Order: sequence, then structure tokens, then C-alpha cells
Amino acid sequence: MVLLCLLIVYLALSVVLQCMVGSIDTSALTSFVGLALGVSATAFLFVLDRECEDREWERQLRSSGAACVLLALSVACCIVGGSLPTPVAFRTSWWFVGVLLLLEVHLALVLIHRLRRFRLSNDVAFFFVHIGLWLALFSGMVGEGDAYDVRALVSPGESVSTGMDAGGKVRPLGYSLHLYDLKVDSDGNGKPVHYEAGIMIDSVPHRLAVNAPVSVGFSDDIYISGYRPAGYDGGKRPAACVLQIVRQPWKYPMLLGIVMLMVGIVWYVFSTKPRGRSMPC
Amino acid sequence: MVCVFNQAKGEVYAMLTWNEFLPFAAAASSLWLAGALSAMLQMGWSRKASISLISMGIVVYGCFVIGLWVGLGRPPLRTMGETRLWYSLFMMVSALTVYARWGYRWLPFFSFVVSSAFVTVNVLHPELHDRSLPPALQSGWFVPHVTVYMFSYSLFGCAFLLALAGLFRRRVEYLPSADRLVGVGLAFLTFGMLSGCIWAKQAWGTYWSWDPKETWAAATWCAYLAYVHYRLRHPSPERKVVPYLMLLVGFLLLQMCWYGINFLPSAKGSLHSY
Repeated sequence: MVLLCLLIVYLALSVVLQCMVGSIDTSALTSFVGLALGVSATAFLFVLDRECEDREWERQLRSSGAACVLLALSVACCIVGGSLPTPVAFRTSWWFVGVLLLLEVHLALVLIHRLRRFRLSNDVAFFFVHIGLWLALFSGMVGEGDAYDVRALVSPGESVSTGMDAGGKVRPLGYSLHLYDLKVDSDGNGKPVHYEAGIMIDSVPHRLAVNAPVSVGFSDDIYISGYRPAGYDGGKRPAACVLQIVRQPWKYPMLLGIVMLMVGIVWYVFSTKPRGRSMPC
Repeated sequence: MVCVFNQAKGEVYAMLTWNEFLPFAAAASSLWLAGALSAMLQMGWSRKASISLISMGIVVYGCFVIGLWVGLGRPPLRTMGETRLWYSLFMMVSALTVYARWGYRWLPFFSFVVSSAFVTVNVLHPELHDRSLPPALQSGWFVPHVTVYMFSYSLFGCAFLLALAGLFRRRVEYLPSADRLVGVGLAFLTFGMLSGCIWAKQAWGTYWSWDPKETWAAATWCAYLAYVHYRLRHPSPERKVVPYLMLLVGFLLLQMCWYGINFLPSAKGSLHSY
């Protein structure tokens, strides 16, 4: 009951914040800030678990009952968010981020508590699932301030070193992209079935195709996201392709979380013996 | 049926199209119905006969799916009609597995009813499409992502039938079987969802974009995870209806995620519209 009251207060606060200040501005949440917050919160939760592990409210916070309530809240948020016409407003809303943060705190508490009593034989699949989910959620939240997704329209022979995001903001890439080749294969109806481009990234040649992006450094990926045929709009404009440049500094930790979750859940399910006995009828 | 002459080898190949769906569906459905009715009889031979008949139906239906795959020159997983094709197949595969493992005699029949409903929709509204596959779908993740999802849906379909039986009869004996189905289904659903994440990063630059379809998929996943956690907390529930109701909610969310979303205005512009 205490847990439920706390949740209601927390969510009410989220709704009030949403009404007063609008959605969360994630630009301040750079990798450094996110990491600092994450480490501080984990340290705080470690101390909390060590000092208060026998308290009823702490036990409730890391119980499977709390997991049920938080998952039910996540379902409710997703139903609302999935029905909204603008998903962007949903994923940066206070009420949704509030539930995700609570889920992160719950997962962290569960993990810290279990890590302090780690048994290799029983706990490996459990840790894979829960660390994987925690890491994937954490990587999705931190570094939002450093991440971007920009596009650049380039014709063969042209070079670009900036891209424009969905809000019209121009961002410098820190390297130059030169398109030297563009191939488009179409079917009988003129629909593209395959397109690929040859680009030079700071004078180093690479080939780009759909589902085959090129990585630049630790955080950037370059994609071919579309093309414009020659003579588009009846004019004399040359063919061009749309390059998509995505910066996501936490992409590898997120991939690690995804893989851990994937392996862990399969391991967990197939290594768990069924409880009880079913009755044929 | 399409016949293709391979000039290099001097051979003629016969490939299936949607035009041949009706005879295959009729043959498979007859075998499934015979198998399901046989399962309900309490004779010594009925179990073996039922398993054999349902298996034969699966083979017949599976042959059509493979033939259509060859005929289209791409995996038949692009349209809603094509996903219904896989669901109706996997529903009977799951029903057969559950019947062979736990012996619920009524389950093949109800699975047959669900499966044949999707078969009928495909007969009446086959959603014919061309052979082309958009560039984004030309990925090694395409087939495992969709088939694994469809298989998990079929397992949740069987769990839903068990939940209905449990609610109707007010008995908890169905829960252990439902737990196993949800556990295995959740493993497949998670694999499907996360393989989709990795594919999305390759194709569109982000693992998860909270696209409406993804949001409903997250709701479905959370609902079944909530069920698993509830059962861990209440292995012998005092209120018998709660776990069954959770399974019903999970299954309704799954239907929304699969095709119900197409009726919402939020689906316009979704990356997953098909």
C-alpha cells in the first residue's frame, strides 16, 4: 500500500511537471552528465540496500510485486503513447520517463541486492536478463544530449561536412563526405529494389547500401536513406542521394545490453524447471 | 501455378501462387479438423491418430508456404495476409506440441477454430502483392524476426485458450501449462523484438524509435513479463481469475500490436505499416 501511494505521488508529480514545463529537454543530458548521474544513483542505491535491506519498504521496492506494478504502469504508458499521433512527445514526457526511471531504480536495487549474495550456479541467467535490460534502458537515456540524427542531400561529385536535423538545425559533422558513385536498380514498375553509393569519408572510400551502413569512429554511423532520381520535378537537377548521419555515443553499451537480454531470457526460460503439475483433460 | 523453364538446365519448375491456396488450405484444414475431432475421442488409438492427422495437415500447409516462397522469389512475410499464413500454420504447430506434451484433448479443436478463421480471411482477402521486396526488408534479420514473432504469437494463442478454459471452469490446473507456454513464448517474443532492434539500427540508425508498432510491442512484452513476475510471487494464487485475466490482457495487446494498430490514426507514417 505504501509503495502504491508513493507511485501515485510520483506519477502525479510527473503529470504536474508535464503540464507546467512541457516535455523534458534532453539536450542537457550529455554522456558525461548521464554517466555522473548514473554512477551517483548506483552508489546511493548500494548504500541504501546495505543500510536498509531489512526494512519493509526497501524489501517492497525490490520485490516481484513492485516489478508487476511497474510493468503494469509501463503497459498503461505504452497504450497511451501508442495511441498518440506524435510518438516524440510521448517518449520525452515526464510521466513516461518517470516510469522508466522507476523501473531503472527497481532493476538497480534488485541487481545490487542479488550481487551482494551472488551464487554462480543459480544466478547467471538472472543477471544476464536484468543487467541486459538495465544497461539497454540506461544507454537509451544517457547521452541523449550528444546524440543526433541528421540528413544531407549529396549529388555525385559533391562534398558535404554538415547535416540538418528534423528541426532544421545544421550540425557540423567533423569530417567530410564526398559522393563519387550512385547506383539505383529498379523493377519494371520503377520501384527501387536496390541502391548503393560510393562515398569518400575524409578521402577514404567506402560503399554504402541499405542495411549496410558505414561506421565512423566509436559513435557515428552513415546510412543511405533515400535517393532523388535525375531530372526530378521535371528540372535538370542531377541524381542525388540522401545520407543519414547518426551519432549515438552509447550504441555499443546498448548493443551489449540487448545481446545480454537476448541470451539471458532464452537461457532463463529453457533452464527453468516447470512448477506444479498440469492436469490433462 | 506458375511454370518456369530453366534454359540452362533444361528443366521446368512449378511454383505456387495464391491461386493454389484454396485447395491446399482445404486439404490441410480437413486433416486438422479430423485430427482435432480424433483428439476429443477417448479411444486407445485416438491420440496417435490425432497427432498423425494434424502433422499431415501441417506438412500440406507447410508445402504451400514453401512453394509460395519459391514462387514469389522472396519470403512470404511482407503483407498482413502473408503473416496470417504463418500464424495459422504455427497455431497448429503449437497446438500439436501442447497436445503431445500435456494432453489437453480440447485444445487442438479450439486452435483449429482460430487457425481456420485466419485461413478463411486469407481465402476471402488474400492481399495479393508483387514479388518485389523493398530494400530495407532485404536483410538477414527479416525471416528470423518475423517468423519468431509469429511463433511466439501462436504460443500466446494457446495460452489464451488455456486462460479461457481456466476462467470458464474456475480451475487453476491450467496455470502450469500456461506458465510454460508464456515462458517459451516470451523467449521467442524477446528474441524477435531484440533481433528487430539490431536490424533497425542497421537499417534506420536507431535501435528503438518508439514508433507506434514498437510501442504496442513494448506494451505486449511488459504485459507478459508482468504475468511471469506475478506467477513468481503467487505460485498458488488465492484469486484464481487474476493470472487468467492477465493472459487475456496480454493477448488483446498482442492483437493490437499485430493488426489492431492499423485502425489507429497513430499508425499513419509508421515504419512498420504493412
